[in-house]
Amino acid sequence: MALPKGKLFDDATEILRLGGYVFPGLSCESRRLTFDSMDSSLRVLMIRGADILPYVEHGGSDMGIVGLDLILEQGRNVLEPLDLNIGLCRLVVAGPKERPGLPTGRPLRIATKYPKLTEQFFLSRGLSVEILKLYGSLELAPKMGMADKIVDLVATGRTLRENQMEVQDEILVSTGRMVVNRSSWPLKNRAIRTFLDRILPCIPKAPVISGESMSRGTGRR
Amino acid sequence: MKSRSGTQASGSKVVRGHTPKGVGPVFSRIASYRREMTGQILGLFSLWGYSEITLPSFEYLDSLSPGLDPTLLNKAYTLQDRGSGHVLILRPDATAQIARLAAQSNETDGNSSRYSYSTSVFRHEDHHILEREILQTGIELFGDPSSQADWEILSICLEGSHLLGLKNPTLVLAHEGIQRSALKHLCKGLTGEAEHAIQRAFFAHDFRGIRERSNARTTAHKNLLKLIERMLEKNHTLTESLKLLSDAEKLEVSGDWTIGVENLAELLRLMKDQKEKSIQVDFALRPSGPYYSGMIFHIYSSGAYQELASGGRYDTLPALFGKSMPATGFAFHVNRIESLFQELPERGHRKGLGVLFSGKGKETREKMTILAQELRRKGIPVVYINSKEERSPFNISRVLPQYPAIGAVLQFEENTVRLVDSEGSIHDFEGELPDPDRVIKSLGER
Repeated sequence: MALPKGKLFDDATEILRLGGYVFPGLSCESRRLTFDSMDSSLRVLMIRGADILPYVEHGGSDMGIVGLDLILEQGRNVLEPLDLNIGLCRLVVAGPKERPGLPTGRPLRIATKYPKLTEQFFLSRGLSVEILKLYGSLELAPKMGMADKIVDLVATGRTLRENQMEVQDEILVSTGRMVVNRSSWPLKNRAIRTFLDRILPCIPKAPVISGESMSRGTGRR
Repeated sequence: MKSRSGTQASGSKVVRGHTPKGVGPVFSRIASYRREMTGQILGLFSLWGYSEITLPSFEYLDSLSPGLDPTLLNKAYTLQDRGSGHVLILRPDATAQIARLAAQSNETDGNSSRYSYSTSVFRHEDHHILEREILQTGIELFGDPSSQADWEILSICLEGSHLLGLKNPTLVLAHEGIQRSALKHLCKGLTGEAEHAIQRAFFAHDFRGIRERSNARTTAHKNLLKLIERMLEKNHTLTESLKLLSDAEKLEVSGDWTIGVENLAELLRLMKDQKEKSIQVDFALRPSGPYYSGMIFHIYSSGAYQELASGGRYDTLPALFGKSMPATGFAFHVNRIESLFQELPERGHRKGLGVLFSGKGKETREKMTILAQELRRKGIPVVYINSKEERSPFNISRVLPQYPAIGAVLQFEENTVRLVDSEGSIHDFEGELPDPDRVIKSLGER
């Protein structure tokens, strides 16, 4: 299974631990890239979040954990049988508080890590936009005059507030999902079902934000 | 230094241009495998009564577009016809093309007709999909609406999978009519966005997602939801599927639902009689195109990360080209199957023979040609080597590594033919040509 190194890591490993999958030495900081569970029934691959879907789609891994935002952005052909209710966040349109409107005389310019979803969202509202693909620190782009707005993931909204920006629209709500290679699903169906059945009771009943305790007031499925 | 033809001599290499991504040449081993594989499969199709057709590489866009999946249409390569100015399309799909030909043919009037093909389709793909020229070898059966026809398609596909040596081929089945009518029922009264979310959850196999989003009010709706949860929770064996379908028959969903359920149950019973163990039913298997209207299926195999064959019933497609008639078929995705066999040893050239051209006289060349012809008649490949290694004694150990398929070397001189066998031993034949069988014996078992 491909495990993301980013924000989903802690909650994902907690679900695995509660499901009885113990990985000696498993840590986000480790330089090792593979870990086997103590019962040898599961091997995890430590992979960057954005690479989880190619690994699963191209059979490098039977399963993976990845956010819905990336699934929809990348449009990969994978199955997605379980919402893990972790890593809750929203993909939003945000802009500077002092400039809430649209520019005149030119198309709206948006800085984002999600060009496909951004374009779809604005086109569905009849707006043609220029997309500036960036990989981080999006809040800087409007400040430096490179973009009018940004489209980014927001969990608590703290980063936006600290940069004098506000949420202006919501594109989607994202949580971490279990994805499965579409060939592994029939060929290893029993093993995958057994794995899903083991972790199912350990999934929070309601979506939780990364870093918040999964058991705090949410209960389990 | 330049050769006579003006090209650069070996030793310096100038790269001029690149092959577009997603397409590429195939070299000896894979090329031979492709030819053998498609030959075997077309042979199998022929034994089931399918006659081969060769399709044109491009057609008028207007003629083909009515039956093309809109997604495929977006991926198609188009060009302008120099003569008429009309827009041409490089075929992005063989099924639509054959359906059009069948719909416009008189041969299909009232009869069932069977066609086979092996052809490339061309699609522009996003950066993460590496196939833009896809070789498909498949069959289409027109004019037979029965489950027996679907059984025939599935049986040929399974037989072909075994013939190709696919490891643990697994046939995964579903029914588009059941999927469509179930989703229609579940989405009744919902907004477009909620409907889209339920459809997405269905094909993602996320039955909890369906449950959370659906607005189940009536008992019938709740019963359908329960059944769909059972259907989606895993892939089912034939026996389990027949039990599910028997429960599905009792639900009053719609006429399409009942037809789909009966149709799939009948097909599964036929498949069960065949005692094929490697069949599963995945009720949420996503159809490969919008034109499917009945049973749909994929073939998976160990080692492959995507389906190696796909097909199904597409009764609505021929009508888009002017004639309503039932149709069913499938295709093997040859490129994907080839990639499974990349590590196979060289096929075909099990033994070889190199003939060293060293004599310059007419007489020498004549002798060499006679012996080469006799050897080729006996099925032994003969390769002419214009080597720098012309001086005797001939050093086979320096030449053979360059020609892994070659087992011995014949060096022609004025009055002598020197045979260097696979062990490196030298045998001289004075004034006569060596017996071809003697030469074959010298090839050894390289």
